[in-house]
Amino acid sequence: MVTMNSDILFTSTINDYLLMDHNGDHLQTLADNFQHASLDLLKKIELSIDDNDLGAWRSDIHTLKGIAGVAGARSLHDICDTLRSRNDNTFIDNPSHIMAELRNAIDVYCDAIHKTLNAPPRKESRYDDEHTTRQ
Amino acid sequence: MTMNIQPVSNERPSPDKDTKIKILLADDHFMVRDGIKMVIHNNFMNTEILDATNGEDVLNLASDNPDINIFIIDYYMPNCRGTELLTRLKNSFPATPVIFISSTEERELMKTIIDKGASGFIPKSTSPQIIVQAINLVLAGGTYIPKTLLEIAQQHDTSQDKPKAGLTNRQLQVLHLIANGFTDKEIASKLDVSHHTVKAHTTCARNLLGAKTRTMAVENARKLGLIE
Repeated sequence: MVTMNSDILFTSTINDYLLMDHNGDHLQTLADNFQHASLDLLKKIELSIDDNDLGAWRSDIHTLKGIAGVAGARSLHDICDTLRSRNDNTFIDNPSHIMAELRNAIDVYCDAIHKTLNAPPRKESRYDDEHTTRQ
Repeated sequence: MTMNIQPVSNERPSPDKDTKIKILLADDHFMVRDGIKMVIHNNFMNTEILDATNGEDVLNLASDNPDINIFIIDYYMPNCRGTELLTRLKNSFPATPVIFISSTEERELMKTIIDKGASGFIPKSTSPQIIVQAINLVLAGGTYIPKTLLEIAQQHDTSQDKPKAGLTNRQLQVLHLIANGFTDKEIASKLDVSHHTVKAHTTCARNLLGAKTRTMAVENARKLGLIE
């Protein structure tokens, strides 16, 4: 079990993936797939903004929210949820800000997963430490 | 508002651990399919998963594979309305349960889908272990209702003296026997099922009752008036 930032990650999802194997291969594969898929989607979202196509934009944000959920990317999931629930054309007002926010959430997730996969295993308890030292 | 969360009938036999489970998994995004497949393959021993990316694929694969045990389908796929697909599947394969997955967590939509005969609704942000429990529950003949919807249903549904909290009759039977001190093996023998099946019922009941242990599940069931 490693310490994780619950603002960035759905920690129960990430923990469940980590429990599936001992070396974190599943989570690594998932995170790699997520990175590629989300960056592809960002390109599509940019295109839909350029084309002023609100329908395509909403659909792509919906898809991004879905893959964020599966990957355990909480902050990205929540941003998409907020964007998706808007009923106006606000994406046109400040698209560069929105794109930056989405890109940042993807980067932050990938970084958090990298740290999680490379974190040393947490020691069980202080007693265990002392016990080991005494031996 | 009255919510329809009646337990469904438990006539369909639940597969044992060694039984092969055939799942049709449909989502238009490969990452969602891969993520869910990873979860299924890691938690179910003998599983075959058929991939679909749209409604037409689902219907074609379903008619070619009448032995599918469960459909797990994205509610929103291109050129495909989830409710329409549900109706068509229920008409052609009434005994095969359908679970919808979605990025949407709108309670009204979840309620509508369950009312129309789906056996569950899983938001895509659901953790892998809950997904496994939901599949187990549905394979055992139950209906998986997300926690958020279940809490609201319990708050609003005052029309019944004994709310069943989405538990099947079989799960209530298992809880009743646990409350009377029987072990899994004894319950299995009494109900003429394997102890794996009993375990699956207990796990699903614990999940639905928000209990970490069997004892807590029994306590919660008693508090809700589900068992004596």
